[in-house]
This record gives sequence, C-alpha cells and structure tokens, in this order.
Amino acid sequence: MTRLLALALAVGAMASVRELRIQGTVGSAATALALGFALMGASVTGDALRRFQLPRVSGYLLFGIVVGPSLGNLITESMAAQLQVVTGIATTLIALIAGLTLSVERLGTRLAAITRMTAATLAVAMAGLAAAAWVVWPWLPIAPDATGAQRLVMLALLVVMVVSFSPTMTAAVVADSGARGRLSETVLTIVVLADLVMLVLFSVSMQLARIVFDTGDSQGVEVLRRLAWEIGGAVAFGVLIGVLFALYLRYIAREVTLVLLAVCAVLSQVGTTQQLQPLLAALAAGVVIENLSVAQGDALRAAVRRGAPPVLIVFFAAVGASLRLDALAAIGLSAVALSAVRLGFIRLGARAGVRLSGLPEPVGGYAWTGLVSQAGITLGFASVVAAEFPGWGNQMQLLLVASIAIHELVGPILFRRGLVQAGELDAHVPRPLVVVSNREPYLHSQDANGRIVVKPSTGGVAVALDALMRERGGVWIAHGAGAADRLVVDASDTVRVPPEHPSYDLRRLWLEEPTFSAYYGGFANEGLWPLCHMVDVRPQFRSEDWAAYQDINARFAAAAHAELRDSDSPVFIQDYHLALVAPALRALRPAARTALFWHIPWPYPDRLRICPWRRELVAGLLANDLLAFQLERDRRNFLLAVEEELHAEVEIESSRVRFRGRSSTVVSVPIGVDFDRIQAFAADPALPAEQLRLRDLLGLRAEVVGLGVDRLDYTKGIPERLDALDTLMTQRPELRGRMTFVQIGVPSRSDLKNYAAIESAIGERVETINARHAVPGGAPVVAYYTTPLGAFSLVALYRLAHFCVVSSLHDGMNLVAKEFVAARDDEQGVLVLSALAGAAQELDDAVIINPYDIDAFAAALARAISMTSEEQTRRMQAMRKVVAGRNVFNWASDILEGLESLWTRPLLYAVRGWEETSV
Amino acid sequence: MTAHPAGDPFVGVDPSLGVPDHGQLPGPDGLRPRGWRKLLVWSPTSAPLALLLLVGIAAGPRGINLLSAATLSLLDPVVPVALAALGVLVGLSVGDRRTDRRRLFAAACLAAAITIVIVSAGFAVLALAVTAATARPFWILSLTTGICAATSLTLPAGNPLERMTTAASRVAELGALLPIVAGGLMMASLRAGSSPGSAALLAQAIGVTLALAAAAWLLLTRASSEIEERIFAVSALLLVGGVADALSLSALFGGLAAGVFWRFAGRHPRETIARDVLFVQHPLLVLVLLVAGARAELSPASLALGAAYAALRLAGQLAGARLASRIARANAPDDFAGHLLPPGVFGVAFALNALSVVGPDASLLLAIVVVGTVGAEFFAHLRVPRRVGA
Repeated sequence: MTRLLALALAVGAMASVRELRIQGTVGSAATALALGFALMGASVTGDALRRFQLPRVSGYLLFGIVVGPSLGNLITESMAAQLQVVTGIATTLIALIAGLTLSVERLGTRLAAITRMTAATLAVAMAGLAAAAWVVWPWLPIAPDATGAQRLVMLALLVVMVVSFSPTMTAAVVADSGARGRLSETVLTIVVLADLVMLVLFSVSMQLARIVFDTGDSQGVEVLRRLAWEIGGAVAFGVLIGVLFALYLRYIAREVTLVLLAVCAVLSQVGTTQQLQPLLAALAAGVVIENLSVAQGDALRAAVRRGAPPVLIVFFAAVGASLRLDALAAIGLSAVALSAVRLGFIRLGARAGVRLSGLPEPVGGYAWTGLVSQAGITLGFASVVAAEFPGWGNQMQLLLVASIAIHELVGPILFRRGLVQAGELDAHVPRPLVVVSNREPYLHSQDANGRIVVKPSTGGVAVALDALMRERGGVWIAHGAGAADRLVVDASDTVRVPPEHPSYDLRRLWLEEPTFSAYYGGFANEGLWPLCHMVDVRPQFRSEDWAAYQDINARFAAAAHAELRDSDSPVFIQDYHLALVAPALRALRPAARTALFWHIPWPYPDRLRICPWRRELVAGLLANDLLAFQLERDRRNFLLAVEEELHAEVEIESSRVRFRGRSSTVVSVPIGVDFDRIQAFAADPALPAEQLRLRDLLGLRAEVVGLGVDRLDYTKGIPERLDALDTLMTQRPELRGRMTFVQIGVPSRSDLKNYAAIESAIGERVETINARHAVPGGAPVVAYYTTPLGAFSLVALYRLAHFCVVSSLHDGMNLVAKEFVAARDDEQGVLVLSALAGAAQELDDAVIINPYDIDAFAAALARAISMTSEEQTRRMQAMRKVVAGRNVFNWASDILEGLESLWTRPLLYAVRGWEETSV
Repeated sequence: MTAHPAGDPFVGVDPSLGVPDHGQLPGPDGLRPRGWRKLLVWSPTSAPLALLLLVGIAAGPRGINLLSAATLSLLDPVVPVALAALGVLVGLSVGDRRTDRRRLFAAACLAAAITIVIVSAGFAVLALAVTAATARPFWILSLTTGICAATSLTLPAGNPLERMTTAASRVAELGALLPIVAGGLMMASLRAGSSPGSAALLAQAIGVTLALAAAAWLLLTRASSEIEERIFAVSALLLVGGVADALSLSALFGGLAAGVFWRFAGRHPRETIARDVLFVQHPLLVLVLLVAGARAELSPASLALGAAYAALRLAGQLAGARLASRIARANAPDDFAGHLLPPGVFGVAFALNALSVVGPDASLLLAIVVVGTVGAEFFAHLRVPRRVGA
C-alpha cells in the first residue's frame, strides 16, 4: 500500500510537471525526469506483479505502456525518444552479463557435448521456423508484399530474433528456485552459446539487409570486408575491452560499478559509430573478463549487482513506452501463432540435440523447457532493426515484443516445471552424503556374555556428521575398529546405522597390520601430528609409513568410488589421516565433489619443509574442491605453502587456488560444540546426583575446584599446567588443602614413544606436587584421573569447577574450552585459556595465558580463583554468545553448503545482478 | 575499496577537541601534500578545480573536440542530476540547532551576502563604465556573477549527517545556502518573467519536488534490499534533477529542498540517500567541471572579466570573512578568510545551471566564472590558511 501511495505521488508530480511545462512552453527534453520516473514507477510495478507470481519484467513493460505516449502520456513522445539513450548501454550490459556466464573452467569436458547440442537445437529450430515463416509470409504483419532478396533477409532477421533465448531469464529461474544439477547448468550454457551464435548470425543478416535495402554501394569483396570488420572487429574490440577491464579489476578495482557502465557505454558507442556489432563485442568482453578475472569475481559481481538493475529496469520501461498499443492489438494473434510454432520447433531441436550430443538424462527430457524464455537480447535485436529500418523494422519489433510477452509469462513456468520433474529443486531431492573418516561413528563389540553391543562415538564431530547422515542418507566409510565389527556387516562390509532408526550405511574398511600402524601411528601421528603442532617433538618421517599412508588413502578412495552412485553427491573427508583420498578418488571419478576438513593447525612454510613429501601432500589436498581449516591463520599458512611449494596461482580475494587445471577453494570454518545437547545435560535433574558421585569418586572436598580435561598428548601443555599449579601453591600456601585441581587425562596413542613418555612424566609430576604441598587432612592439590568420562559426567564436572584450564602448547581449536563454556548456563566459572589454542581466537573473554610463562600462568590461576562473581558473569555471558552462535551442526552444514555452492556459484554469478529484478 | 567519501579522512574532527583544523592536518601518510601534489587534493574546501576546468577547455569543442558538441548534448541530462545531487548533500547537512552553530550559520550567510554585494556591485560598475547599459539582463548578469562568487564549497562533509565537522568546512557548507536560495529565486524570476509569477512557479516547483521526495522517502522506508534502496535513491535524484531541468529552474535549489526534506524525515531513508549520493559525488563533480570547461566560450572579454571576477571575489571574501568572524566569535575557524578563498565547485555548478536554464545568453557568465574560478584558485593557493596558534 505504501508503495502504491508513493507511486501515486510520483504520478501526481509528473502530471503537475506536464501542466507546468505546457503553460511555460519549456523546451527541455526532460530526459532525467523521464529516466527517474521510469525507474521508480517500473520498479514498483514490477514488484507488484511479482506478488502475483508474474515476472517483474512484465511489470516494467506494463508500466512503460501505461505511462507512455499510447496511454497515459506522462512520458511523452519526446521523453520516450530520450529514454532510448539507455537502450545501447542496457543491451550491451545484457550481452556482457551473458558472456560472464561462460566459464571455460566450469564447463570443462562437457563443453563439446553442450556445443553439439546447441548447434543441433539451433539448426532444427531455425530451419523449421524459416520454412514455416516463408510459407505464411503473406499473412505475417511485417511486410506482406516483400519478395525476393528483401523477403529473404527479413526472414533471416526474423528467424534469428525469434529463435534467440534469454540467459538472464533462465539464470533467474535457476536462482529463484534454488535448482542445482546438470539440467540447470547445461541449459544455462546452451542459451549463452546459442546467443553467441545468434549475435553472429544477426550481424550477418543485418549486413545483408543493409545491402538489400541500401543504395547498393557495396558489393562482393566489400560486403565480405564489412562483415569481417563487423564480426571480427567486434570480437577483437570486445577482447581488448575485456582485457583492459580485467586489468583494471586486478590493479585498480575502484568505482567498479561506474566503470562497468562506462565500459558498456563505450562498447555501445564505439560499436555503433564504427559499425562493429556492439552486442558481440560485449559478449566477447564478458567471456574474457570472466575467464581472466576469476580472482576479482566478487568485485565484479558486486558491480553487476549495483549497476545492472537500474539500467535494465529503465530499458524495459522504455521498450514499453515505445510500443504503439493499437498496432500491438492488431498483431496479437500473429504473435500467439508465432510463439506456438517456435515452441514446437525448439522442442524438436532439443530432442535432436540430445541425440547428437549424448547428454544424459535429465537434460534430454527437459532441456527444451529452459529454451522458451526471451527477454533482453531479443528486445535489443528488435530495437536495432526498428531503428535502422523504421518501416518493416517497427512492425517486426511489434511482433517480437508481443511474442516476448508471451514467452516471458510461459517460459519461467515451463522451466520451473522441468526442473521439478528433473529433480533439481532442493526441496525434492536431498542429496545423499558420503563421509570418509578414519574413525567410525558406531563400534560393535561383545559384552561379557558374548552379546553384541553397539557403542556410538560421542565426539562432537561424529555426533554432528551422524545427524547430517540421518537427515540426508548416504554412506559413511571408516576403519572398522570394533571387536565385533566384522560380525554385523553384510557381504559388502556394510551395516545400516544407527541401530534404533537405520537411515544410512556404514561401510567398514579392514585395515590390517602392520600397514595400519604405519599409516595411523607412523605417518599420521608420528609425522603429520608433530609437524603441524609447534611443540618440542621431532616429526618422524619414514618411507614405509608414507607408502602405507598412500596405500590406505587409496583404499578409502576406492571405497568412496564404489559407494558413489552419483558424482554430484558431496564427499566429506575428515582430517589429516586422509589427505590423499581426494586425488586417488579423482583419478577414479574426475567429477567427484569433495571437501576435506583439516582439524589440526597447518604449519608455516619453514616448518612444512621438514616433511619430505610436502609437495605431494599439498597437491593432494588441492585435489579437493573445498578445503577447510579451523582458523584463518591455518588457511593463510596453507596458501603460503601452496605458493612456495607448488608455485600455484592463489587468488587471495576469492580464496581459490588454481593448480593443474583445477581450482580449489580454501576456507576457515571454526568448529563448535553441540551446544543444545550440553545445555540439556546441564538442565538434567539427575545432574546434582552425578556431581555428588563425582565428588566421592574424585575425593573432592576442597572449597575451590579447578579442572583440566585432556587426551594425554604432548601438545596439551599438561606438564606446564602442573608447573603453574606448583608455583601457585608455593606463592600462595594458604590455598593448600583448600584447592584441588582435577586433571582428567585420557591416555591415547600409548604405543607411540612420545605419548608413553608424556604419560609417565605427568604421573610423576602429579605425585611430586601432591607430596610437596600436602596438608594433613586437607584435599590433594591434584586429583588425577585417567579413565574417560561420558559426556554427562563431563558436564557435571564442568559445573563443579570454579575454573577450567586449557593450556595447549599448540592446538587447532580445543573443544574442551567451548564445552566448559556451553555447560555453564549459571554464567559462573572462569576459563583459563592458552593463547596458542585456536579457541583463543574466538573466546577472548577467557583469561588468556601463555603456557610457556609459568609465573604469569600461576598469576592467572590466582586471578581466576579470586575473580568476582560479577566479572565471571560478564566474561561468561560474552563467551556463551560466541559458543552458542557456532555449534557443531552449523559447522558441518557450513562446509557442505560451501561445497555445494561451488557448483551453484557460476549460476548465481550469472544472475547476481539480476536476482533483485529477475529480468 | 572505494575512496573515503569526502576524499579526506580527517574531516570528521570536532573543533572542541582542540585538534588542528583541517587545513593544518597532515595527509594519511603523515605528510602534508607539497608542491604540485596539493593541487590534486580533494577535500570539502579544495579540489583540483582549475586542472579539471582546463582539461575541460582543452577537450571541448574549441580544443581537441573530444568533448564535442554532440557528446556534450549527450551529457546534458546528467548535469542537472549532478547539480541536484550537490544540492541534496547541502540540504542533508542543514538544521543544526546548537547555538554556536547558529552563530556560525549567521556568519557564513553574512560572508556570502557581502561577497555577493561586492562582486555584483563591482561588475555593475565595470559594465556601466564600459557599456552604460541598464537593462534587466544587465542587472541579472551582475547579480548572478555575485552569487557564483559567494560560495567556497567543493564537497559537503564526508557524511552530511555527521555533526563532527570542522568549523572551516561547516562555514563553507553553510555559506553555500544563501547563494543556492538566491540563485533559485533568480532563475525562477528569469523563467517566469515577473516576481509574482516567479514566486508562484517556485512554490509549485517546490511542491512537486517535495511530493517526489516524499514518494522516495515512502519507498525507501519499505525497501527490502540494498539493491532496491539504490534504485529508489537513484530514481529520486533523477526526478529531483529532472523536475528542475524540465521546468528550467535551479537544480541546486531543487536538490536543496529535497535534501532538507530528507534531513528531517526518517533516519534510514536519509542515510540511504546520503550513502548513494556520496557514492557518485566524485564522478559527478568531475563531470560538472569538465562540462563547464568544455562549454566555456573563452574570449578576450571573458578573460578580462574573469580576472576581474577573481579580484572582486578575493576582496569580497576577505571583507566578508572579516565581518563574519566577529559574529562567529570563538566558533570562527582560525584564519576565516583563508578558508573562504578557495572558489569551490558550487560557483561553477551554478553558472552551468544558469546556462542550461537561460541558454546561450548565459554563456558569457559561464566563461567569466570558469576563468574567475581558475584565478581564484590561484589566489587561494598563494594564501594557504595559517597554522593554529601561528
């Protein structure tokens, strides 16, 4: 209603201006007024029609017709003529955007098949339409009396314009519907390629028309020369402008919107004045920019988004204003007939194209639905013909505008229906997922009675991926490590999980010794783990471990290939154990779509050089389409490694790496915890009882309880933590007997030398501290417990603690810090967090420590103990906001959506400037 | 990354903070532009006006004809929009109710009025001495020249809704108000031919402009995306400039009226308008200056009168600043006159506006103002504002 009121005000103002101009006989052309009125009014009308599920462009045209000279005359004849100044810029802009959709990289190997399909479709449709139009020419409202060469060139122009498609409309339907898949991608490419051909054919036809209808001053070689100039010169000029614009984007990139419009104006003006085909030049420029300026894509997209809508709205309104309604009414029946014939031949052509190209379903069945829409380029053609040949050209323009109106209405509806039937709309086909990880989500074992029991993995990542798999279905491929795993699988080593509601397959791989130990304990945990963590442990790289790592990764890849029914299904690879899965999978399945999440830090280039196989590792990771790290720091380090080790091209802005003809996107997506689950535990009425049980179990009778929960790993900084406690107790002897620090330390990888050593060192250190600071009858300084606790018990413990210490020497993220915060819905408790843990990047309201500075660490512990309740609340509130806002489910879906958007990006790219206008 | 909207990141300094005034602040690299570089600095009170005007003259029909008559006619529709945009920016910055600012406003108006009187009177004397003509166009030319000379503003402050501007740039902003209003009235009188007629025409034009501003405001309050906001803001600018163009009235005045409306309407629409106008202000200013240069028909008479314009303007601004600083008292910027001397773009814009409304009869005015602006900028560079406390 507000919009209509605004429109009414604008209409009233325009009427007043018209009256004042008549009274004052003012001579100004009032171009700016016409432009502003057309822009505002058409925009409001288009939006109003959109609410009735009609294309906005119909609203723009309608507004132009209603206020134009034929009806309302608010935009007078002279003003309508002035509006045509926009036509040149708008049509070149449309052609440029069409060129921007032609990414050679994206089309890859399918380009040849799509080209064949395009050629066949065009050939059949054009031949059929030409034959039909020739037969019915005397009844067509163009120039019934035309004969011979004149009729032939008019026919050629008519056929070219009638067959032409609308890349923008096609792309707008794809974006609006959220469609993803082969059909939408292929159809968009076909319409762009077809329009490229149409532009050339239009130039040839126009040249012939000029000869036939002109004085005949150019013949023979001169005609060919002019044609070569018009087409070849246009392409060359377009390439030149495209290269210049790409350079501008790369090195200056300021005021891109204005420069983009200026480029369109230059293409239009120079094209027109120098007899170059401006639309062809613009399309060539678009192709060059798209394929040269991939790194500057965001800036260009933003410029198109800003600049295109106003220009295009005015263009369509201007076309509407230039229509003569009386003539349009007379031509309506012919337009309907023309549309019906066009539809028939396009369908026939698409069928022939599919046979010739061999493109698979669903392209074969539904491609024609995306070829019905017409819009800007056709209107541009018609405007050029009308301007150059005012008589029959105007008639032809009328006929085309009437038929475009039909195609505008019918085309999007048909295409959407085709996409639904092809199963490419999100709502209809949730795509199954393939997860590849070393650890499995469910382990089967036998209890004391020999019964098989299943134990779910309780880790946050496993829970999040399990939830995704339940929702989407698919296959999870993992190492079968459970004692009874082999007993429950079928012949293909698969078992349906979860046991209570089987909804996806768990495919187990049997990794035998000694290969498994060399792969897992050797290369992954004695090599990569210390390489990526900056601790005082020397990485061990052995050739046999590397061979095992390659072998096991290849076996995971082969399993993924066997389980992938459809190359479009996303493959989610987990962690540093499987860095070489993607290249091995890509060798078997080039079109596979893979994402890998690297949970641990990525080393800076100097440290990476320790690894003898670093280039293979980095190249292997780049075989993924999406590569995600925890932190921006890790992402940057990886990109540096890519440049230094592989000399690959890194596009910083888009975070893409181009290597060996492919591109990978590298992002940072910090992981979170299952916030809601922890909240539910914290609110569980059984929690106080569990806390009492833990107090008894751990002998907790001190006033102040501190907590550390870790795997026993040399990266966790546990000895440094114990040293800080020792210092604290020495400096603050009054705390003896009043404070107990609970250290939950779960042994892991104990068969590795460094891990065994750290376990033993921690045990000894605890004993020493307790002996040194013991108070008769008082609580021990450190309560050390090495049995893993369940999630519920951990939450109970988190809520018992006055403070929690995370003192990692280097850590990708550290979820204990986030779990502690999630558990404290009482907004009490202090988190003492190492600045070297990834979590510190997000939780800066923790008490941040440097675990290497023992005195400062001890002082931080003292500060945590004496912190006021108000300060604890303030800090905890701030940290809880952070943790609640990034849970583990968001993390997983962010990565998957990021992966899937890599294929929708080019489509969205095509319509980014249009999505608000949907023209 | 776009440039800072005002071209100078240091304009948002409150004088009460005791930070050195704009003219004394270093550039972003910590160094004040020196030598020829200072000729290229864009700020609220300075811009490479002379350079762009000279480029316009060189590229125009009397130069290398890059900006040919045909090209200039293509650019004609853009000029009123550019002028309206400048008016909108000034309009968005009016209405500060603080007492100290009121004094500043009074001082700025007084300085502008004195300059108008001195330049107009000077031109009248000069013309009487040469031609002895006393017809209405003669007086109008004199007065219009005075109006063109009275402003010093190049760019309104980076964000016209931001109150923390320097006293110097604020004076320049406020000082543009009186000439814009006077110019609007004068153009209406030229168009209507009589005072009552001009008042009625101006009232009707303001009514139409405000109706369009209200329409844009309504649309902007309901805009669902940034793209839509931009479409409505651009259409509003086109309409405001277009109304003035269609009715042969002052686009600067139309823009001012719309800007004032949006200034007191809702916060969100006015911020949207300000953002989108600021986005295009640099290209529009460059366009105005190039077109003005290209359209200037230089002749010995215009060169001589242009030199007189520069000299009279210098005298007017010095006298105006002297009196105005007494009114502004402590709120006056140090070296008031030094800040008023740069010619600013508004004088050129107003002359161009007069040319588009009056037609070829105003070509002498444009030539005088273009030459005079180049001269005035030369004077301004000779007399850089003193340092604080110096």
